Amino acid sequence: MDVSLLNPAQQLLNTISHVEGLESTEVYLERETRRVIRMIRGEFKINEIIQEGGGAIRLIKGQRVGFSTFTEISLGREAFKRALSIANVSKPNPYAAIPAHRTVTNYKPLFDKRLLELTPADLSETLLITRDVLNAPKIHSKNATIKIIVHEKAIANTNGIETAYKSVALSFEIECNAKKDDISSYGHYGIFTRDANDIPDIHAVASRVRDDAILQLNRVNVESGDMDIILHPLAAHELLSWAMAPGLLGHNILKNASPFIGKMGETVGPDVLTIIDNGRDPCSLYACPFDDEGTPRQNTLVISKGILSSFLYDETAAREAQSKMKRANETDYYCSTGNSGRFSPYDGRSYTFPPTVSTNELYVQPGSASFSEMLRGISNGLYIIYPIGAHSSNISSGAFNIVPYAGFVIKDGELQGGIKEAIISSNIPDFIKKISVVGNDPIRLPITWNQPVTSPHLVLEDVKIIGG
Amino acid sequence: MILDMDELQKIVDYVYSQGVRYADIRADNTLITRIQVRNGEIRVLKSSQELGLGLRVLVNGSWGFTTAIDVASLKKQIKSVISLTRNSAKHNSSVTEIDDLRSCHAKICWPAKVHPDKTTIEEKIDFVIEANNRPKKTCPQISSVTTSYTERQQTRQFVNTEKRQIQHSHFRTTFGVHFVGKEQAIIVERSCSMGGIGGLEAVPYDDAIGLVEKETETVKRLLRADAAPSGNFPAVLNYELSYTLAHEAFGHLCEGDSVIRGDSILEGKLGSKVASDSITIIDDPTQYEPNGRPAFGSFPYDDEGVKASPTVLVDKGTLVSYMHSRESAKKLAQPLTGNGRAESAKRRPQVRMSNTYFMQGDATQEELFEEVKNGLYLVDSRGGQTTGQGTYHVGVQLAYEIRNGRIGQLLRGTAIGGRTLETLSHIRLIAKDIIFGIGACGKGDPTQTVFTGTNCPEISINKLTIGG
Repeated sequence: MDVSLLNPAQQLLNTISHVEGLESTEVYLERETRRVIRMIRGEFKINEIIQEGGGAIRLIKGQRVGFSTFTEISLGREAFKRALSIANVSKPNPYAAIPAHRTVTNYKPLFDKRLLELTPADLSETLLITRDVLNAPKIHSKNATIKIIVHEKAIANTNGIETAYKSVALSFEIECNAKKDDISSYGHYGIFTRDANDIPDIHAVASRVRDDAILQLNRVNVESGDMDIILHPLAAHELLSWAMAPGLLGHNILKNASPFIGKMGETVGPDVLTIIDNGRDPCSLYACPFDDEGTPRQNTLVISKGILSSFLYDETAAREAQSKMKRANETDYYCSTGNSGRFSPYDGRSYTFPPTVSTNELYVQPGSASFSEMLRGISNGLYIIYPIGAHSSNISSGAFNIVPYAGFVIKDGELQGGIKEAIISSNIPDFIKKISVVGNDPIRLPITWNQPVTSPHLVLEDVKIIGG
Repeated sequence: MILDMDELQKIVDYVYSQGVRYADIRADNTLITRIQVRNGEIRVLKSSQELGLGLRVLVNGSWGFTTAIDVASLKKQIKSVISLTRNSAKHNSSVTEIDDLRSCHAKICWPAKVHPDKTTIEEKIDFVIEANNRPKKTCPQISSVTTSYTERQQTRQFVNTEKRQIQHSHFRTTFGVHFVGKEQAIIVERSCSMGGIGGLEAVPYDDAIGLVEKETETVKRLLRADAAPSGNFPAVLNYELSYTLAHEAFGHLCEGDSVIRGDSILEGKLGSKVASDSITIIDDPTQYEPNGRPAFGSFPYDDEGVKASPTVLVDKGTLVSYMHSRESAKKLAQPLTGNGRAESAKRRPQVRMSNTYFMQGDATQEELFEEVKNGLYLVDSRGGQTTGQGTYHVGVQLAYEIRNGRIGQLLRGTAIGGRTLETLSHIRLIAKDIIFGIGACGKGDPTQTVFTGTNCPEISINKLTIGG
């Protein structure tokens, strides 16, 4: 694996870290190249070769943190001066820390060169198959995007971390609308993979998107009341990413902004629910053996058979937790779980954001039920594929309201038609307790905002629905 | 770093010589200072410089777009992006066209009345800490307060093959506060912000402190408030929610790129009645606040080099125009509106809104309440989301009862959702005053955030689906 960013990171660190009084200095470099073809209404209208990246300097001087970013390596020294001047005027933070070196063990990187070798003609072929399938009566728009993404990052700090990683991935997404008179409906499919063997049968997935959209044209009224629902992996992502994941992050625990505070070791969900922060899966969306400050990532059991088992920390949050949070035993020790991320909820990951606590990937452990088995078990309910509104959740209480955008009304174990109008109003602590069945079909989605979540289909019982 | 416009022109001219129909280059240089304090401690203190560079080409009726970290790298990618675009355009049955524009030279500066450098970084830090410390002095139930201050100085440059050369420099300064309040099992959140285009005059010290103190009292009352009811009710929306309805629920459906993607229920509806006669909706990037500053979503030229101008979208209930990029205006045979915006030079322009609002009516706030008689007064947004099919969701921070036409007790936050056109048909009265505010909107893949003005009058609606 050719990782070319490590040397520049080391060289920059060497030129800036000799200033007197500096406790620690860190250089973070990132580069991403994306080849993208976008099909819009069946036409190949947008083609992109995106090269972006930059770097960040973080330093600590007298417990004061300085942070600055830059776009070209030649501007790194100027960024260092800005970071230093910021640290000089900042206030001490006794918990601020840049981590020391810890060895990554037994991580099997995945860099599937076959993805890199896919030519523009190969990518176009995928879109052509999609277009052919979507050329059908009632299908009004046929949109799809295919991307090859190469991502590199390198971290060097004065505490011994010198590490770099390079990954490649393919992302593919189909969106279509069906239309009949004034009614239109939405079909969606998305996948993110790092393994060429996992590229799905495009004809089959496009056919499913087409058929879903057409079936939803038959809109069915929803009466207010309690009913069972099935969440599609996309719907599960939206809810768990916006309403639940923030409540598991150490910095939110420390600022009292989580519905899970005081519940460690308690039952917060059914025993069919196990959620892992999947830090060591080389196939995940942000796969990397180390987090965004160089600490080895790990698989952290967050909810184990319904019992809350761990929160997630970066180096600084762990130190603060060690000082402020209760410990069952004197020997208990809070340490980084390898969950430092440079991200903002709406903008995704980028070197431009200072490191903070972030999930690596919340992974809902699959159960054994197939989707058809789940469907057969519901006499009156909803199948929600894509909800809107989860992003306005109250992260402190986990309260949320969502409107199903794509989804079906279920009657007697069958999809009857699209959902005409409904709002689901609940909060995460109550909501996840209603999970009764976990599917066997997790899907890794190409969604780059907020916290990544991979989930199979989920069944929830007796959810309060407000009909239109 | 401001690039030489003639140098950029030479590159564009070279690109043109390679047989493209059109090309433009955008560059931007942004200096950002951000201070964020949580519970008395500095969490983010950042001073950064961001440089962006993007080249767009129109080749054989398809767009190509590439970005680079510097001019030399950009030059290296010219041939690749042209070749990629040319090859994928072979699969198209139609071509993207744009109308030619005349050459133009514009250099615009919106200066800061009080330059950010007039105050030292130490003073700014003290201000953000002081604002952060106020709430806990009077309200011990506030478990967390985050205050943040951001200033941006940006220069955007644009050059194209039509010899249009545009440079725009401006400042944006904002202040925000986020509270988490907790009393027994009740957890509430409250966020608000202020600021504008301009320097320090956009965030006067006393106003910022006053905002924090006022909202501390709101949080105290929220902790003792009941939950808002669920169901269908008449309601008054305050200016920020009225804006969110105009922008999020309706405005996105009028974006020309969504229309040509086949992703808007307003496709083919120009000239049709989409709302009651009392409704006129405008998008105006040339809007100014009463204090003489450009409104927060204003700009002089869009990111395709088109002069900004106000667009009436709905005139007395009839849809009269969409908002356009150069591509969508040509495709739909409508005049240019100057709505091609990009988050930065590293992102492709899309059709985006600026300051989108309901034109004022003649009602007082008292008359809105009297018209509703018994219902809810909904205040401030927690973010909104919409779909091309006209389903929307808006989070609501606060609610008040309206009883017998008078404002009653405070209730906790909720959400509204439903079908946009149905909601518009239920609007009854529009207030006579516009209140100005600041906002941002995300769209696209990758998500691009652009600034918008939340400038709107209050409105009354006789039926709204509310999820408590």
